[in-house]
Amino acid sequence: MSKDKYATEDPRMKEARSALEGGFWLLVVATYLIISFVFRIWHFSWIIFIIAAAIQQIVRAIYLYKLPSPPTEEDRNES
Amino acid sequence: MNHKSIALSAIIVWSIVAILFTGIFIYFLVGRPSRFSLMSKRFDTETIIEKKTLDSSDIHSLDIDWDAGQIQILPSTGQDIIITQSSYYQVEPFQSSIQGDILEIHQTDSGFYIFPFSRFHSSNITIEVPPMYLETLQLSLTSGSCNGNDLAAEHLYVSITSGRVTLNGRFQNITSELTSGNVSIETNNLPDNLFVEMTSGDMALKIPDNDGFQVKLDKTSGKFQSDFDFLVNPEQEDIYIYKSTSSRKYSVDMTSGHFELRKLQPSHSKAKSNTVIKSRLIEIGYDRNGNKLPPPLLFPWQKTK
Repeated sequence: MSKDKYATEDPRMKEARSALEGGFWLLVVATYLIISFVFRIWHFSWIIFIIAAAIQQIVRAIYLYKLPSPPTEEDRNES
Repeated sequence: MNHKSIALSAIIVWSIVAILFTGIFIYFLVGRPSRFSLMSKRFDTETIIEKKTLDSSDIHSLDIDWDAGQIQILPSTGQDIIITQSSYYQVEPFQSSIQGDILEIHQTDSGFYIFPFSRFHSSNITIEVPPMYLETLQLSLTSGSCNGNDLAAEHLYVSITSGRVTLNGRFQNITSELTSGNVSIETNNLPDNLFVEMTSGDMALKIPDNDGFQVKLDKTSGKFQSDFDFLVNPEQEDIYIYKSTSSRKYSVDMTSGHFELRKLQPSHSKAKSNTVIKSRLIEIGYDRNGNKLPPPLLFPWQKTK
């Protein structure tokens, strides 16, 4: 395993993640507007944005959790 | 601490945040509405919230302060002032008090809210006033609208941040302050004094043709239009003189916006009186043409039994 793999994210993965996040926030804004206009709940519908931000951070953390650990000093010495 | 434990901590922290705010959101959405909850109950149709009847004999002035909703000032047949507040929401009843000979009517805050859009819960008010010559009629609107027909007042004060005010009748002195919005006033007599201060918005004033007056227009920007054939002194371009240098001096101070000064057509007052009769027939839950208004969209649990 090369050291670069752990230091930087694959550019294609980064682009895919960015596109996914863009779509997610577009969906959040659309949901906020639809719910607020239809049910007239402007005074608390903004909470949707906090929930969405939390969901985004959870997904990011899960993604980070699943990434392989960087090599330790021992791993480097063995290689 | 490796990246996995940091990620795990982040998952836990953000999950708590998500659960907490989802809980708050659901509580607001389905929480039992009561005076102490954060949500107002919604009715299927526009419902009367409060109705008050006051003896008009000691009242010579009206001071109305309304934030959101429609105000209707109608002539009544009896000697009492009847105030009816209605809304689609269970809002707080309005407050009224008599200070000397002034009847003050204020919209009350509809409970505790957590965002400026809270005043979306508007309520409408109908004030039935017996035929009387008011000393002062003062209207302060943040938003919403006000309609008044066949009114008579020595002093008319209109102050609006936004919204729409439409009044007609007889007004001897007119003061109007607009931040924005739309004000339309028709007076059957020529006012002695007129003071208009506009930051923005539209104002239309209709007065009868007369023997003369002059307007001092202090305009930064905006538009001034009139039916009257004004004479303008080249040395004093902000003074508009109609017919003669009368003692009636009107003042218009515009930062921006649109001000119209029009001649009141003689047939106009008759047409307006028909509107009065028609508007008195409006019932709660019906529009001006008598058609039933559709109820607002509701969640099943928000419908009243």
